[in-house]
Amino acid sequence: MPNIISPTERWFSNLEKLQGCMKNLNHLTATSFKQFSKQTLGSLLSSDTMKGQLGLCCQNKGIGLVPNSALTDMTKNFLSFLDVVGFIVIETALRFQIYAIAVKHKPELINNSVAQVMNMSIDTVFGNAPLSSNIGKKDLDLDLNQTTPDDFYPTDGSFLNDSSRKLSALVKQIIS
Amino acid sequence: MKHIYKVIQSMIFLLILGLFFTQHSSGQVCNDSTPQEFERLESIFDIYRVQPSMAPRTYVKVGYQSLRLPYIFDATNLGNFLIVKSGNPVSAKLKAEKFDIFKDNKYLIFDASKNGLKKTDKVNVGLCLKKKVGNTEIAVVLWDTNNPNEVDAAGNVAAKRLELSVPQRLSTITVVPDVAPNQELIDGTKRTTGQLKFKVDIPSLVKNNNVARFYFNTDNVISTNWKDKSSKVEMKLGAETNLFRTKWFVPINFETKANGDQRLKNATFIASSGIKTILPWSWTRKGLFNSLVKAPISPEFGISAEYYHRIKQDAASLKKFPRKDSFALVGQFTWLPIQLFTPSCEKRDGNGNFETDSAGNIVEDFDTCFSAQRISLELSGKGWWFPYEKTLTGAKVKRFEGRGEISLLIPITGSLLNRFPFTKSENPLLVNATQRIRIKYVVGANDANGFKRASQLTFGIELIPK
Repeated sequence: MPNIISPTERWFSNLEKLQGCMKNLNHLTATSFKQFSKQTLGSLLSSDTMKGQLGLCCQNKGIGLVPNSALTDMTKNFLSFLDVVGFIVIETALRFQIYAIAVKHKPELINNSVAQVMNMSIDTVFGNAPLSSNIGKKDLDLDLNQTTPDDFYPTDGSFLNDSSRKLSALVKQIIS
Repeated sequence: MKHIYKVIQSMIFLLILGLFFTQHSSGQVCNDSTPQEFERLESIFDIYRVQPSMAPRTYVKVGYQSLRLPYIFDATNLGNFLIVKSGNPVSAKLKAEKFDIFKDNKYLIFDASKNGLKKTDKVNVGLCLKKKVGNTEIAVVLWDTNNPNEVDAAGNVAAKRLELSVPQRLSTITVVPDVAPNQELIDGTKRTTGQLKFKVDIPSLVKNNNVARFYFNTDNVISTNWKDKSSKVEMKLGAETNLFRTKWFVPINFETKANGDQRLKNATFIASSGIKTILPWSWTRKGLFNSLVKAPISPEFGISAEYYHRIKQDAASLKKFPRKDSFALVGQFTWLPIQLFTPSCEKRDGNGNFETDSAGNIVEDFDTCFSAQRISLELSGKGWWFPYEKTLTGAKVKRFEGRGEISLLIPITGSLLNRFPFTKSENPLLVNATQRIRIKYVVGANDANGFKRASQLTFGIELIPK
């Protein structure tokens, strides 16, 4: 049985490939995943030849083809570049991931859309018990820890502490 | 026995037919009453330059790989990708022709004009999915939206479909009639002339080839007066591709151009070719990215060749270009920025230890270790070879010419502007700008000045607004 990786893991694997492409072009490419994802295109790509090389690298590594519009606004960061070039949108992948766990713990949520569930607070979906004694939150924490690098989602699960926050805000916190 | 054999044969035929239709029919289970949901799919309807040919292709890309159980999306079925004219229902779905697949990523070939869309039209993109509810699967339409978190006044989710513009057509034809008052003529007089400006641009002549991008364009100005100085006929045919195919980006182009005036009293054929590249740079990190020297990016190299053949010349042109042929080979490189004596990029805390993020990675501060406020070097060089010892514009030169430039940039602390009354400024852009002294040394031939050779040392002050 092949090991099927989740969209979130694939997105981060693509981010690593993208970082590899950029490291071969510019030494100012950050080592940290998160720091790299926030670097702007303009800060690392200074010529058309570099843009062409990045396009070739993205195509070769299976991330995706680079559309003309992806390199017009150079103030955009590599996170949004990867969303535009690739076939996985990190925000959407995380929303579907959290939805899957929410439905597992509260099966009646299946009748709601992903957007409706993301509009709910953490405690509405998982209850307000702390992480240490909350099976749903523990499951979510484990899944996020397994699929998301530590600089995006901390290993101590502290992002789940504030139960009054909406799940959509949790997603924004992970990627911001 | 023969009868049974025929029945089995018919059953096998029907089975194959059924399988064929399962695979190739639109298989769409979504209709106008299918429940609709909204998520960010980052759909792009744009022009893509496919390597190695760099030939432009128009695709619709949908981020269909973000989904996870209980949502199931069958990306093998073209019918599950929905494109409609903005605001239209699912039943008004437009036709995508087929997939183009690159490393398992599926792009939709969608011809806007064949689907009756105009330049100003917009489209919505979505997916027809299945959602597993218990033991059953229900159909769901998932539209792409910019903001899936949008809510109405009552706090209910109220996201809207994303609208994508139809991209510009790749090929363009422009015809502009014009009147040019007091247009200069070749005999020195001036007259009002009527002009027809006619342009055709075909950026990709051979569709769906990945060998090279073949292109053609023509740019003409036909005048009512044949003596009109601005009349021209110009045609360009060229090809470009990546020399190293999929290994490294080394674009190379070949181009032939014919131009002349509208009566072809002067006509020239020009053949040119060029190549440029940078180097893979990660291996240089130890030697070229340290406290002594920081050269974060590779120098850029380029070589180009240009050959002129003058097919027809009038007396004025013959006087300037007595030779029918001229040729030039030009090589150049630029390497910037290179910074000297910079601090380490790794951030340290008050105790001198490296700062790390939650994943244990050392945090880097590139704004401090690499900025315009550091001493920098810029290098560039250019060389020419003229086998006929004449430039393309007819000026006499040596067979080989060269030029080198080196700039040393020294930052100035404090506002130098405000030290002098004539440069005093309260504009925050200028007051807060980084100020640097540029000491530039140039040696060799100056192509902008008829290849006159000289060496020159100049000083200047630069302002870089923050």
